[in-house]
Amino acid sequence: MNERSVLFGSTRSIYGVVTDPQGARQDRPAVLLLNAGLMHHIGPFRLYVLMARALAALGFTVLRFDLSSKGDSTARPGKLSYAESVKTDVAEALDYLEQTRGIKRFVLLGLCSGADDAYRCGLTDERIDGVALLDGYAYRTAGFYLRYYLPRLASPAKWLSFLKRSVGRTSGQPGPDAGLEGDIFGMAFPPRKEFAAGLRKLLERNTSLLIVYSAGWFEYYNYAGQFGDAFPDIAKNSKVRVEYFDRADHTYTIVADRKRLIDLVTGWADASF
Amino acid sequence: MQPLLFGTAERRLAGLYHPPARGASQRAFLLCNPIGQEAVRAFRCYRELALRLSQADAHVLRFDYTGCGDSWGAADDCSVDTWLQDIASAAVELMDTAAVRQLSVIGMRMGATLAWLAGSRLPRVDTMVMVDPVLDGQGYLAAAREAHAVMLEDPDRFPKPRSVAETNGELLGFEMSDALLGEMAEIDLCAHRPVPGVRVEVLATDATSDYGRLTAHLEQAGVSCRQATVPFDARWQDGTALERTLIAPDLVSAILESAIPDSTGRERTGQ
Repeated sequence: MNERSVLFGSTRSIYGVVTDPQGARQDRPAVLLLNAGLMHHIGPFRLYVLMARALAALGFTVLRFDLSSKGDSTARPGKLSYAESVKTDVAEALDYLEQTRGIKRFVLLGLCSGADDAYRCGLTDERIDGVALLDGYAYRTAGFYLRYYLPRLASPAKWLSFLKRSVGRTSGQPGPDAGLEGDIFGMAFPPRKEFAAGLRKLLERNTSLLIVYSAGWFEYYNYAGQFGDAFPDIAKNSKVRVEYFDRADHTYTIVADRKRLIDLVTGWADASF
Repeated sequence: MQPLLFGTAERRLAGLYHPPARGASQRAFLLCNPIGQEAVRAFRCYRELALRLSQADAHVLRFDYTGCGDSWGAADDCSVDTWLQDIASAAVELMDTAAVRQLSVIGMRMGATLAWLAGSRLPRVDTMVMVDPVLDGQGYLAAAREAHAVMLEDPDRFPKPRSVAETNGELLGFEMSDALLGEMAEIDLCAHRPVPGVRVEVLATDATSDYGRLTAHLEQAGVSCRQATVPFDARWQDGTALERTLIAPDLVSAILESAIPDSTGRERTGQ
């Protein structure tokens, strides 16, 4: 394989690294790895570097890059919102690979905020054949609440923490099911129905979905069947694969967990495309 | 900013070259990363430093060692000796790219230490700025192991704690071979002679850090050395701060002033 650092985009301000496989399979989409939070393009603990090289070994071209204002990419001129800026960055990344390598189909993968970005960009760009969401949007179920609160009932310290957060709720903040999901835990997810509609739209376009949650996402997801309980019709779709790493943390700090994740992603990509 | 790939065909190193803002310059700075998660946490500092040095009319190269960042290689390819060779390669690359005859080196933590150890392999070095350098490899590893144990039991990271036993061969998220750990344990900065004629600036982010042994060693060798404290809560080896990005504008300013003292007209005082 061959790796090349590149600057691309309309303002040549987006920095990334392309991993070209030896003997690229022309029928395979390219994979784009989107920043995890503020982490630059190597990913947490070099996850994206290792994942890119593992995918390239299977014939995928991979681009790991920094969205505008992250890592080594500079800010985009103008007054775009974050969502608009991400959409433009990703579109330009797809354009770059199409113009330089003739690739017309793509897979987006992201961890944490990267998952959110991959989902939103997947919805709006029909060149996306696959979306892999690692610790992205998650929706609590009765099973989640049971597993979340039962252990805390026996812990005075956790009661105190819960009461402190509840005081914050009653002083004007909306409850957990009002408008934005997850606000009691501090994250802003789109409403459950909107996310479900988005996933269905992707599936109607024949997009393959890999949805992975880790134990480190425990404030939002805490058992293997949670996605299926939240979205039963979507979980049963043959284009959807859901996995739960019940001991890994959010950034796959432990090497064995990271290797399992890479094996999962490469196996899914190899089987799906 | 220009991406660079250098090194041998079998072992390509990834770097980023920042040219001087106003054109020709004889100032060149090689930035040597820390290793492991300390490098990840310091990424933004290094980028900011490179941009500001470039604006101050210096050539700058920052790069990734073998098995780190975007460079070739995996954990098994990492060794202290390999990293010293990488620093030497990067120095040559910078001097060729910038067309300069000498350079200065800036490193944080193990980056400062590796730069020091690479000294005899480097072309002419004018200034070495060392931020929180690691003097003693055994002490560094002992602190890392302690932080690793804390990390495995951090309930904000692992709702079910993990064990040291299941993470044999890794420290704070990165694989480390026994051979590499053995090399690192043998590091004793003060056992190595400094580069002749170099000016050394030691910056400590913790006022309790004791670099007396290093400064005494340098003075004995007739090397010009200044030490200063730039307070910043870096928490380098805190097992609960692994993903805490260093946002330290004052530290970057202090490094810049140490690296290019004549640009600020600052009077140097020894400590």
